Amino acid sequence: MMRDSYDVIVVGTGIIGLMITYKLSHYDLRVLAIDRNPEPGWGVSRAHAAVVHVVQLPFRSLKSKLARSGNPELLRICDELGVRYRRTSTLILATEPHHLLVLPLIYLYLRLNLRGFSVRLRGRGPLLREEPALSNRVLGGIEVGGYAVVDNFDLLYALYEFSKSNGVEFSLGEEVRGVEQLDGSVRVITDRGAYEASYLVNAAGLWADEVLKLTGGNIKFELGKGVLLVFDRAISSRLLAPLYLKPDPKTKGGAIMFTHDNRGLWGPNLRFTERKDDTSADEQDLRTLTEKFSRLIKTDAGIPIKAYAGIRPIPPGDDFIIERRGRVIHVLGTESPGFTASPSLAELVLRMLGDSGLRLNEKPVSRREPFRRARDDPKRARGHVICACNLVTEEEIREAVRRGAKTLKGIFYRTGACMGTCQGSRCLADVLEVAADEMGVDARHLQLGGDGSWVVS
Amino acid sequence: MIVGAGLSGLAAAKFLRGVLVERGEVGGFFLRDEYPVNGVRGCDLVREFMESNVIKGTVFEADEGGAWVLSEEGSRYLRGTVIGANGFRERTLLELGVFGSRPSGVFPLYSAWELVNRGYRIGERVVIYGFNHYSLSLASKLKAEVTFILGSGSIAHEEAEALDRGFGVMIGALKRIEGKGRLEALRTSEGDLKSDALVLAELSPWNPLNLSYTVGNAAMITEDPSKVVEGAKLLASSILSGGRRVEVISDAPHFPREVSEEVGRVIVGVKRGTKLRVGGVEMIAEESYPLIEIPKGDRIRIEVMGCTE
Repeated sequence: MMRDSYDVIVVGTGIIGLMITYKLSHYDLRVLAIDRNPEPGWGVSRAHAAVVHVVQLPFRSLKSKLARSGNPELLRICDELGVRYRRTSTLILATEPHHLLVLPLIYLYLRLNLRGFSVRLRGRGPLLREEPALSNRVLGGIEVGGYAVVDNFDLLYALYEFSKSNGVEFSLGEEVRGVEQLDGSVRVITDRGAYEASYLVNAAGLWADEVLKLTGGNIKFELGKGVLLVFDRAISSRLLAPLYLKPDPKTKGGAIMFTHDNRGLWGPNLRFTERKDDTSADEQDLRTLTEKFSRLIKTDAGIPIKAYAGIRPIPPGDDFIIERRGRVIHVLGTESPGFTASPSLAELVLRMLGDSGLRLNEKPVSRREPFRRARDDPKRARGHVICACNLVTEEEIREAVRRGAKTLKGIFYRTGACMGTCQGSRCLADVLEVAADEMGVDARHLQLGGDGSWVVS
Repeated sequence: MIVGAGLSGLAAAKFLRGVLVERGEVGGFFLRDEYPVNGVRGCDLVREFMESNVIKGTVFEADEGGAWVLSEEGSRYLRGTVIGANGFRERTLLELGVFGSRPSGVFPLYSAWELVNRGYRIGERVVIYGFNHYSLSLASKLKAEVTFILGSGSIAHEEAEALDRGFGVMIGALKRIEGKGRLEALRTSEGDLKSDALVLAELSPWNPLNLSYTVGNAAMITEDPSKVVEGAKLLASSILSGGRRVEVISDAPHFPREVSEEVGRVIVGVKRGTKLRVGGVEMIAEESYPLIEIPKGDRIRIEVMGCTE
């Protein structure tokens, strides 16, 4: 059954798909976004560190270039949408005497390649004064400016809300099963029916290889699993990365980082897996990350709250692949730093659509109302607090539902409830009942994150 | 000003004539806790100490002069000495060395307690990880099949007590969680268990505001509700009497860490029959969570020598 026709269908609502819908929503077009998950941003995009990067090797790669151009654009979009973020820098830290010999060379190399970003050589004394958590083993370092940590979920939902309120249609929980190229259009067959569009954009992230296969192409991703550890508090105001003399091109090697809410974040590591749904963390991950990063600090890291894993679709050649096949544009291999590069990637896709004949007539757009939270300015806030760890009020839970949360996880991600140190110990029952009340259903019908994830009966 | 109106907060407020700040229901865990320890039921003690001098709100920041409270009326700064009665927190999966996936059906103890008391079923095959008064109390309310995996032994309860009440007991460590949408299985050091609900009940004191004064489970995990009240009295006496402070150092959990010389007593978290050396003098604990007299001095050491039973 043919359901409807569109100018553009975007498959995938991760950061890349949403950034594309955000850009498309500025034009007079009929756009549909499809995702197999019940809520947007639940693929690769929900499990990264939300760091706006600068250093990405090799500098000549497409992903490195797009990250450098996407960096300021991403923060501009955050400003426009009222998304929270914190600017910071990265310290690349030398801990061995022979590191000091190569430090000036690395500094020069970074300066030559990172035009527009500050790069400074830093001595041991000032570093230890400015970052008291640093270990006495630190001998010096290089500070690279231009980094930021973003409220990832706020950005994903902001892009979704902006796109939706400016005309983009979303069909969530729907899976693409077939793609047929017709004369002058493309037919997308899903588990619910079929759509027709002038153009299709494959931004399916980890599953982009499968959508590519539906159009006759083939690619094999390496599945790179990265685990991140979350602590209850941040221990530095900069991102702390150990210096490597032989950098691994597949990973920047992780760092001691923090979230926009000032929680500690260590990682990621990198190991390979065969399964796209294998987001489990193991004891080995914990050991690897602890051994790697604990030598950089001398203070207690705090209470370890949780470990989570994301999977990167690493393409052949370790670089983004953006290609057009007829009326389909495939965005493949959007691993790190896809988050930082996403605005530039989306712009590139728009240019390709325009070059292919899509008419891009600008239209007026409405603004997104920022999601206001008590914890952003608690001394001026009011409300009945439900989650004490993250100061989430009852009104915020209700607002999350009004903005489209359909599951408990959707509420957690939008508000931060149940994601603090107590991990929902004191607030889960209240969140469940308030959400059910706002949705007008019995709490027994709520799911944690999709089919089969019932919470209470 | 006491943050938290559970049993310890209520008792501390009464002894200190303080004001309570509580965001939820007054009474905390013990409000509905009918499972006795040494013949004492927490709910009876809560009723005894229940009072109405409660400010509705959440304390989000505290300093030496007072605390910021957020409520439906707005935020305000209240002056006074701030005492934390936040109770326990459940140790996280990472702290417990439990890995694997994170499906639905994994509950921290307090959330499971709240859900069960509100009339929900949390699962059909419930495993509780942690053997203590609080997990026993929850288990006594669950109709579902319950298996305890003993991550650490209870001070105030014996394994036989659980068996007598029909709860299965398994001594071992939880290692891994399996399940996609909902919890399906648990891997333990003693074998695999089929389960659709896991309650994390290994507990730690919780002092999120980093306060100097804490009481009840915010200071030390205490299973006996009468000892929770005794601890509040001890803290109140120590604050009100003033005098020189004695620092107490022990390899066993103890409360308070610093006590007025005039009060000169601490509660130590050991079983009945535990042999202790207090400031060089040997003694045997005559009950669980004994109240120990300490000698005068700036710093007193309590050593655990072993167990006589």
